[in-house]
Amino acid sequence: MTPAATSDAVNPVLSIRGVHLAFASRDALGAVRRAHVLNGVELEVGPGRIVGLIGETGAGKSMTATATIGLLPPSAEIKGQIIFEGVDLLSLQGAALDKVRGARIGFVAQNPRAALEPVTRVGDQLVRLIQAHSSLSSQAARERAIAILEAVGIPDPQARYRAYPHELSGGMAQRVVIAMALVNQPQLVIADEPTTGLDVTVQAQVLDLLQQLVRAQGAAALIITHDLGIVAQYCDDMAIMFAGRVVERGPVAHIFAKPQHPYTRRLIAASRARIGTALTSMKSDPPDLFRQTTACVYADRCELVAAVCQSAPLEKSCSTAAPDHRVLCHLAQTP
Amino acid sequence: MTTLTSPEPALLQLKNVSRSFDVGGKRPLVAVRNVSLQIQPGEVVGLVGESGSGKSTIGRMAIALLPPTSGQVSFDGRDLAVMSPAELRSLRQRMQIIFQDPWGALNPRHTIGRLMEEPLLLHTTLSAAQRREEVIAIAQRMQLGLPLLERYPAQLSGGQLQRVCIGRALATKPDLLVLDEPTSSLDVSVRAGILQLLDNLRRETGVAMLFISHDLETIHALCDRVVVLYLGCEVETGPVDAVFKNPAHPYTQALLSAQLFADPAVKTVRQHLQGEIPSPLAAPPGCPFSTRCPVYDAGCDAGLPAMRVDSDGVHAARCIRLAPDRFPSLTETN
Repeated sequence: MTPAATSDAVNPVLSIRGVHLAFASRDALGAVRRAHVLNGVELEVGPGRIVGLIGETGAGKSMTATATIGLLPPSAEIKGQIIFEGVDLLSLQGAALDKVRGARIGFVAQNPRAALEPVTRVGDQLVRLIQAHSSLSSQAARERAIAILEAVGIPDPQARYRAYPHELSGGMAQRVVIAMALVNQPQLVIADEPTTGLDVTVQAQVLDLLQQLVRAQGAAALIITHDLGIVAQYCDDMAIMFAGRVVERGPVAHIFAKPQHPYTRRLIAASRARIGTALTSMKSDPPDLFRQTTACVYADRCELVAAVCQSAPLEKSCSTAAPDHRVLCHLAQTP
Repeated sequence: MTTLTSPEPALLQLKNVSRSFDVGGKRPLVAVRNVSLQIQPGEVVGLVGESGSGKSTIGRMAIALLPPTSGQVSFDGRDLAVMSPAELRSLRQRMQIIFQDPWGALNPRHTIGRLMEEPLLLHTTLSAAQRREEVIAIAQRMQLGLPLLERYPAQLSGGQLQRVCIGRALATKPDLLVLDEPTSSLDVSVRAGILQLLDNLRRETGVAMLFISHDLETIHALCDRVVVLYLGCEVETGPVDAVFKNPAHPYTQALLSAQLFADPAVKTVRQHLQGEIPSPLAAPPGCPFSTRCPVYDAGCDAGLPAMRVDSDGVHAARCIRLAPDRFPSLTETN
């Protein structure tokens, strides 16, 4: 089922290198302060791999995706490199960026109703997207739109082509958004919490579909979620974010079997915990984004914390537990 | 319900309860259809189903926030419909509700301490000093640091706010707590802490709970019994272990097979359901699940199937295809 290539072996489809992202604001006294949203994110998506990006609210998951597709607001201060098909996306602007988005990179947003334009028929939205990136005739584009609606399992696609978004149920609307992400056969699909608003049985339908289509097109995918179940059941690789950093990444099976970072261990334990087993609750104060540090940001919550964690810069100690399993922790076992 | 009634008097009993809403069309929207359920003192009952299945409507009827269109809701053996507003008001301290969204449930302009004191002001005759003492005791039990009492809701995290809501609900020492998706807006790590807190409280105080959720793992972890709803109807009910290990209704089976286990080593054989839950305005004529059921046949359209109970009298399901040797007896349908 999974492609033989390991994630880091040959040219990754997407390579995020040392990305820092900050937003400046003024506090009550008028002094400028910076919220450091991403603090040196390192992430790779290999060809044909489905990568799950997991973390709690505020960890920087969606900001990583937003930075990748170039939808950050102008006030964002961003450093680093986001390399896609050999080009640094952060250096692209205007028309050059438009050639990539919607064509080479497809995007599935969390809320399908907000992602679709409410006053345009879904078929016309698909045709517009197809013609923006190809010179197909209207007739050919229309046929392709109907074909992709059929591929995402929409019953009676000829009729649904003429439907407005509000005439679709949540699950159907999300299928249309998936169709839009895949219609130009992208190399990479980024899905930001694609099933959060959906019911359990519909969630399974949508994820099965997404996985199957991504595989069929030979594309890679980055799925952002806070649900470890989705990562465990649908992804090949995973990356765990905490306070703007990827603290651990590698193959899903490997990380679930041998989680190295204390935060990963905590997350996996929390999602499997049975009530009654002595589950000590995690300190849950959100990390202070205004404080920038090169030391470990998880140290405040970590039960294993040692003196080195509070002071020594962490960037250099990114150790490798297995060839493609990386962890950002002073205390991780090196091979 | 004949066979599912247990000898002790129920704390909460819903008897053939239905609720419809006028939505301006030709027909009313039937959100809850003929549901019967009961909760014994100290029992934790899970209510599971997809959006539109009537979970929250049942929760609101259980604590008299919403009257049923037909049927009877009784608390401690007394019919809520015939109570005077004053009687109902004094009963409210014995039944409390916790909502999904703690941000929306708390007045943003009051401090946490003031918010936690509120139920004591309304329902007790304690002096200011006694109330203060009580608030501190509750905060400690909820694992909320005392400095938080001076802060405002916007300064707290979602998990902390949900602890405040639980503390407020427990301040009047209720016998019944209705929890409407209390953890679905929280992160995984925070959710585990809240569930542990609820489980401890239940052991320490013996409060009964109606726990509404669409998260099967949470229901399995916390509840004694579970009621599975589909399109306003009960389709299966029984002890959690029996229902989760041996689901009888095709919908329960599909729901369980759609669960995503947080372990790549566990592979479930997924049963694919076609389509989505129909609109309650266009409910199918017979079995509510007939439009998506993998084992549907024409017999399913002949009216709402009766609830059939297993030989132990604890596990019941509403499907015409149940094995008669496993589910021999019929309950009265209406």
